[in-house]
Amino acid sequence: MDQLANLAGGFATALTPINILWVFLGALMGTAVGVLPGLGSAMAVALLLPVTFSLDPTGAFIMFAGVYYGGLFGDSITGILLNTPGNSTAIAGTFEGHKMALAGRAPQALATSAIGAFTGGLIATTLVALFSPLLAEAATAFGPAEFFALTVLAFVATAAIVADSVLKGLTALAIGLAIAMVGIDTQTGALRFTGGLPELFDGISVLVVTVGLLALGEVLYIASKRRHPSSDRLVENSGRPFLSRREFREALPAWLRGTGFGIPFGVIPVGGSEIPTFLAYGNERRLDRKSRNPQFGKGAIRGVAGPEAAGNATAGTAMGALLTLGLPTSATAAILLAAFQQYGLQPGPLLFDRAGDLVWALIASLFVGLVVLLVLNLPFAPLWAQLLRIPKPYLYAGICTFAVLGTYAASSSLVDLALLIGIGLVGFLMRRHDIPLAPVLIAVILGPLAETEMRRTLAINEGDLGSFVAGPITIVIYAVLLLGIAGAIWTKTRRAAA
Amino acid sequence: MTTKNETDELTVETTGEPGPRAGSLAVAGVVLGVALYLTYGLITMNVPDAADSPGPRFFPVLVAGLAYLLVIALVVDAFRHRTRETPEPRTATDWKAVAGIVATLVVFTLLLRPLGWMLAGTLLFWGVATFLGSRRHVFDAGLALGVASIVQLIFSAGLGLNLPAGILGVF
Repeated sequence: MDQLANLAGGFATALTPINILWVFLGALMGTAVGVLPGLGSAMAVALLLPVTFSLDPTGAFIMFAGVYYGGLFGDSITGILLNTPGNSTAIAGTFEGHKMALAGRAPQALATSAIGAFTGGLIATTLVALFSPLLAEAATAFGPAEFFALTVLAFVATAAIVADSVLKGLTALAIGLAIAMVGIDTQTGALRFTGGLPELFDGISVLVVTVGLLALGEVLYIASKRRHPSSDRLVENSGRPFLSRREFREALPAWLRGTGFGIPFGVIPVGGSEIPTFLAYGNERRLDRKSRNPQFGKGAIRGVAGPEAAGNATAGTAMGALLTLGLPTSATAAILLAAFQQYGLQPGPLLFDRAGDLVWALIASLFVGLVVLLVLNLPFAPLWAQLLRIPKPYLYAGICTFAVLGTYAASSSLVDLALLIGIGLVGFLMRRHDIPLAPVLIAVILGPLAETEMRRTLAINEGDLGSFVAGPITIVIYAVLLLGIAGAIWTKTRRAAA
Repeated sequence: MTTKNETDELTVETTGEPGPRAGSLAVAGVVLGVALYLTYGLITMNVPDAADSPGPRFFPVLVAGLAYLLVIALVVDAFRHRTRETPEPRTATDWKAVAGIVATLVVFTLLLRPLGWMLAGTLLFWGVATFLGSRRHVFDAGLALGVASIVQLIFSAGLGLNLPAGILGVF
């Protein structure tokens, strides 16, 4: 097995003292940002991008491995203790998790979440380590039409299938695509939508869009409704954060079932782990109803275990899809893709050949990151919640400060700061009117790829529209897309009828 | 992220005539702005003669078309729902705080190079905290200066990021 030898090499890189320090720091900072209300793991990666600029690429990506899983866990902490999940992916685990906390079992809920995240992440990362070289090899069969089909799948899935309203999802998509087109056209050198500003010739940086939409938009949104009495209440908790053997035995099947739900969704671009976490939650609830002593509604440990494992399993395989196909299947993965590009690396089938050492070190760090998080969070999760005691004005003033710092440090450009403010206002407006943000990010990241591959397909086949669906792979992708649309229509009509 | 609870909180009771949904109209306005900017850019674009047939205008034309369709759909949506849904509750929004923070950010951007990170950053932190309702102005100023200094130390002196020193010019 080549993979095992490569992985061993990766561990050799990842386990040097300095790199362990980077994973540790990344996990620490990722959890800290994830815990902050309104900021999830996507934001953790975006805000910490500039911090990693001074590191070499390997060190930087090792740090991201920690940030990535740390942010996910931070989302769950606020969900369980405060009933405000930091990210939409943590919602499903919050229902029963917060009830457990209210019933005085917050430490157990946090432990269930942490072990669930560890289980899901571990199994998914193992699969990535074993199979991503194979997937990368298969992906070399992908031509322009195939990559275009994948981007269409990503766009339609995030904008129309996952979003509550197709109209709102498409609106977000259009805004993102417009942002993505600014700058020099790579194929012809034509200047597009730059308004003559040289600062815009290279396009609008993904970092600016992410920080503006997610961080600044959130700050403005919080400010706009600061007079609302907040119903958030931090649940006090004490006691041992460990599970009894009985609790562990009860949660174990739910962790494994949740992982099963999560794994396939990492490679399908449907905007992250909302769907698998809710599927896992629904499944556990169905099983619970059949039991003699139903626990759901009273703080069921399985209601936390299933979704948490599903969420991290999706995050794990999403990393595999990013590395092998260059296809970000969630907002967090999208920002990681930007990080790769910042270092001049293009994730995709060739990455394993071109930067094999780095990729294997990254995969090994994902394992190390999971262990670090378990060690860090099993005993200390309640401490993280103390971050929520920072008074809101200081918390958000701090977020603003870091947002402009990250943006300015990346490019030393005042135009970027102006863009940040403008995009922050757009993000505020979108939050106010319930327009999803994920399609904007997916469009900004994948827009250029979609355009290039579309034009290439047309140029190769002399404008023949049939060439988009000529190969077997494209037919499969569009069939998956149609199935997804049909499924979405079916669930929506069923919900409307109910 | 907006959770369901937060949005429920927003819909406080309002009275008044049912009108078009302000939300959809505001969003339609933004999308229309995007579409018009794309159209302007498409008309004024210089396309090199050597460009192959699906040229640099091809994809933007599709996106601009989608944007115009969305504007129509959003406006129709706003009027179709006017009898069923109450308009956005205006009392719920603290526009002063939003405008104040945006103004603080703009002032920060203008003063960053002349004043340097330390002073501009202090002003930013202080301004945002104040507009978010903090009333301990002197303490806030001290805290803001502290945060800006620590950032300068860690990121500029420590990690070597390029932050403008401005009039203080000590780092």
